[in-house]
Amino acid sequence: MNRITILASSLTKWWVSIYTRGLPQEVKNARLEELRSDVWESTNDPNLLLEGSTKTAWRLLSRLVFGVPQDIAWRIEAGRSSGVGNGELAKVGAGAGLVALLLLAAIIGPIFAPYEPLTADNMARLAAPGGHHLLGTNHEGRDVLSRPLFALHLNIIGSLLFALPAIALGRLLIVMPRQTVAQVARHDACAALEFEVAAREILDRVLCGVDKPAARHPPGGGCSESGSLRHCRQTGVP
Amino acid sequence: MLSIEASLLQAGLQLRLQGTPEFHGFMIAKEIKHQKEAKRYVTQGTLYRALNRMENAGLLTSRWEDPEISEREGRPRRRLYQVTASGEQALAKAKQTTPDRPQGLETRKAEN
Repeated sequence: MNRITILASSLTKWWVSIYTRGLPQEVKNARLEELRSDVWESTNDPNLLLEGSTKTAWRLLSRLVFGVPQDIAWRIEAGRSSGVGNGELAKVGAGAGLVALLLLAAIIGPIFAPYEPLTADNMARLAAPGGHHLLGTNHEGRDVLSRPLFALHLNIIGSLLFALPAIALGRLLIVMPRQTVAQVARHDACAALEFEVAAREILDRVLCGVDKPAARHPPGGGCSESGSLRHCRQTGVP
Repeated sequence: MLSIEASLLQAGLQLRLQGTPEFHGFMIAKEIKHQKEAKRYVTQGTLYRALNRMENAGLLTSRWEDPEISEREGRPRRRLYQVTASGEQALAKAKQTTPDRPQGLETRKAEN
């Protein structure tokens, strides 16, 4: 099983855990176990393995995504038949709906904003909510509704521009071979240690003076290269 | 009877004829994947909801596989389904009312 397949199967398990929230444990476990078995069979079927693991992962993802409406319908039925209701599902749905609404407002908000966010109307300062300004105006006469719509657009789109590459990089690290990730982590740890030792050396030189012998320094500190850094440089292990 | 239910029953009976009286979700999904509307049927949500509904209606029975078998084979436990007598009757009745459904197995034979 390659990393993409692991990712697809993790996503399946995550989704099952989301829509089975609030159900009795035995119903939840039965569903989870059945789908775990399905994922395992999908990723270990000899005929499908011939097609390549990437294709298998895509098939698994499409089976998951296109089945989402039916999963929700199943959850509603299971909630009713087990007598626990669908309160948890409603909470998850409300949260997802709010996020979707915010995203929608961020994307298309500026199109529907009635005024430019920086346009000031001196004649309508601190206007009450009404026909011209749905949420009124601020002390500079700027429309209160238009400003957050533009701000949301900039904030969310701007954040996504930074967050998405970071998420992609994180996902890439998951897909990368373990050895490479370990090497990167070791390199980072050594670099951090070097930085710490350099900072301590600077501090020591300021406090102890350049010519003071290391023996006069307190235990653990010192104006010479630390043993752990030397070890890190030699072995690559911090 | 919905067409997915008829397809699942027919595939289950076909597997029985081939010497596999019990089937699990992925096995039946593979069995019906050549059918016209298979893409819609074999999504996890649709398939397992249908199996659940059919079990509640008495068209199928299910049991969990012996954990020793799954442990020995190093995989998760399977839920094994079997077509009941009322499932067979319901399928026969559905065939009488709509003789062109289900068409999956005939399609597969034609392809082979």
